[in-house]
Amino acid sequence: MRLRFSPITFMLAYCLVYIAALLWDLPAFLYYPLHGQLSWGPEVVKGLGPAMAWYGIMAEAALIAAILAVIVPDRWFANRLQNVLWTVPVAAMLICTFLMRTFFG
Amino acid sequence: MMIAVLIVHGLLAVALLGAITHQCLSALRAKPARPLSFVDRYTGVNQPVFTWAVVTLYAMTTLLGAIIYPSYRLNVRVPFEEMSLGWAVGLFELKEHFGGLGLCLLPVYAWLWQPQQMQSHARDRLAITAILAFIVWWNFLVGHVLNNIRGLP
Repeated sequence: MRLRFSPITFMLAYCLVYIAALLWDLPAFLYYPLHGQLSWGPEVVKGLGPAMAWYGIMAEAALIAAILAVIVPDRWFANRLQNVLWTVPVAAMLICTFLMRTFFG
Repeated sequence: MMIAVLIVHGLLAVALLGAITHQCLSALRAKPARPLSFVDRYTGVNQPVFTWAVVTLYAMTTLLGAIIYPSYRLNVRVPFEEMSLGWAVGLFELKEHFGGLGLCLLPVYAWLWQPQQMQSHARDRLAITAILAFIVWWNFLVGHVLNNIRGLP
């Protein structure tokens, strides 16, 4: 069987996983730039300085989306979501903006 | 070293800004039969040829941004917090998340600009290109403003 990568499935899954990870604070790992160390899971290790979640969120979103993109074929979404595909990343960006509102309060 | 990476990151961002803006405006505007003005010539380009340049430049710019990011987290964000510049931290958070979400648009963006999809998905192609253009402009302007407030040491 020949595996085919579905860019539509990848985009949809990535957006959903990214927003879910951000919403529920669930990065796959945290990076501590002060010591250059990683810790698996969302729990912050004390004494290692500030933690960065962005790499962990992107890695888990990309991994899950890549797996789904070879399992779920393009044609499932290509016809059903024709000309409304763009709404998913726009919604993800709006949710991000809403979640970051505390910085501007 | 980080300053050199930051400069290359900025230069790639300028090239990306030019390419995506060119393509986006060209896609938004109907191609005139006979280009006369500067705007006609600016928008009257072969749009698909920009696609791989945009994908490559976006990926490279984001990669360099990811390399610089720890230095920002330690040397810029902490002083921002100490200066009570929450809005500046918020702007960067949006830059980071928009940039991350933009990465997942690249495969579908490249797919939408393939000749096979030219007869369908017209609105998706235009909208995804415009979203990428918005992300690139947002990230460029925010990066520039924050670097003016406090650059990397």
